[in-house]
Amino acid sequence: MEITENEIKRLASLSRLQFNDDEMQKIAEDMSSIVSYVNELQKIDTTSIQDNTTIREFCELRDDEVKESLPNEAIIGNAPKKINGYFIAPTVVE
Amino acid sequence: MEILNETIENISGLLKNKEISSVELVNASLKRIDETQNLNILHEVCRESAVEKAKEVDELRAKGAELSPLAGVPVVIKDNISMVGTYTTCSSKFLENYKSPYNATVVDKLQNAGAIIVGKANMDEFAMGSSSETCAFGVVHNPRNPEYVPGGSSGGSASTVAGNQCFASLGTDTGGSIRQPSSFCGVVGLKPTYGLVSRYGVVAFASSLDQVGPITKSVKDSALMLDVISGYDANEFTSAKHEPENYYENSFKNSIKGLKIGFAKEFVELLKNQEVLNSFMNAIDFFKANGAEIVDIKLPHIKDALAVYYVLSSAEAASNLARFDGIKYGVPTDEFKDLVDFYVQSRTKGFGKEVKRRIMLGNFVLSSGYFDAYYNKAKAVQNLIINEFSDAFKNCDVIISPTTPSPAFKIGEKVSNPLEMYLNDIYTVPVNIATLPAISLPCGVASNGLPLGLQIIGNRFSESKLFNLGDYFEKNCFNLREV
Repeated sequence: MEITENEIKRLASLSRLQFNDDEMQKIAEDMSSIVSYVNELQKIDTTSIQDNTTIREFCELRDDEVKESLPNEAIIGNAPKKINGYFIAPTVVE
Repeated sequence: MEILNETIENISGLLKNKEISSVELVNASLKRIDETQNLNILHEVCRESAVEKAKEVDELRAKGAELSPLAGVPVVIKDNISMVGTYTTCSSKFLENYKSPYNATVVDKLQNAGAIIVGKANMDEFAMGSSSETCAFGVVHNPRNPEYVPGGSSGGSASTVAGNQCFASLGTDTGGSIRQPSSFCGVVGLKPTYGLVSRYGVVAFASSLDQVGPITKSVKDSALMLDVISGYDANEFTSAKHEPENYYENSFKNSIKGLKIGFAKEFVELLKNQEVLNSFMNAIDFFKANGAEIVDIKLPHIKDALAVYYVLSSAEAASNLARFDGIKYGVPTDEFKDLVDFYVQSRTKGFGKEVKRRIMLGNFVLSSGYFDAYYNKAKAVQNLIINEFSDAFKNCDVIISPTTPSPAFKIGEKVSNPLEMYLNDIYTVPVNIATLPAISLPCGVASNGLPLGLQIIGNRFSESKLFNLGDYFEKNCFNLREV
């Protein structure tokens, strides 16, 4: 299955990534060969499977209790830009 | 050097009898790390904290305290596991400056047992890769031959043990990332049952498949490590409420009589390498000659597990990596048009090629128009594979296969063809797809001088059976450390 450059552009936008022209061609080729490979799944009869969920026995919800969490500085400390205990993000509304 | 070649089992005896101190061990380990720096195994070495902790353990021991077998023993953790005072980079430029604000549960458990964490191991970026060549801080070299890859993604974790920098390490395994590098480096790697070991504080790749596990020099050491790191953790949503087993005390029976070992011809049909086939058939003959029963089982969809894996793991990776926006941590960007462009610039700059490829693939299979055809179909085939394993385990105790379809390959050999690289994981991936445990241990040496691995797969929570069979094989058939 061929993944076109237009399709790559759509996926790049969904992925918040950018590719230059050279990279575009290479990733289109790689994606095409990987998607052709995973396409083999379409041939498998899965009508016997009614329920697609897995790891059913897990995922127990915990009680909604207030607990002590990490100090602000520990978390904010990793931000490239910060001020007075807040993250600095690009302006969204002028 | 020689002391560093010992198992934890032996070394903890020496420590206990005060024939060696933990400070001496840690210094030997740090010296070895310096001597083998060219292999690019570790991203960070915890020199001062390691020596300090070793002194504490020695003092406790001098006072006659009852200590764990791991107390005072140098170990290494993969660089996607959080530890206060260290960076957790996942071998990605994106996290080059990211400092762990808290400890992963497995780090707390190791430290509570007195283990000395001496360093953090390089890996494939965000654990995506099978050769440790996608590491943003340079390729990791196989200590058995530096021209060859150590496997991946826990290539640093396997190399640090094989290269005698430490006695054991932690890796993570999403599709074979503990077992495949353990096989390539000639050490013992365990991927525990999904849910048995907490992943709290471990950077997620594909959450329904990821599992933390030990890499060691012997099977018994693997049991020692699992005793320390396993157990329920309320901080983790998928942690299993499984009673502690004391694997080291209870697993080893020194007999495999009557054990039913499953053999699936589908595994052999996938195999093209004669040396891998020969070493695998030797193992089967050995098991038969020692009283085990070889049972033919059918796993008809095992060959499809890899396609299932690439759909599911990429989909989960794309979602997990959506949080990397460059605001809370990551690469700062100064030139951007608007908020979305800020994300685009940060992510484009911060992520490497393979990570971008997986995010793109993940968003492809999750995007509208393709979700049913790819994601839902893969989940359905995953269930077929789970059912096939459940049926197989009605007739056998464990299932064996080679760990990898070939021994380690040369650095650069497969880097331009991602699909060929992915095929390395054909034997290991089904185990994650079915949430099972499996161990890889050395079972021979190929003509290129590099080790081959045997994989033993168990039913959920049957780690003790893997340990017993693996230890029996290591003691009576093949032990790479004695070759």
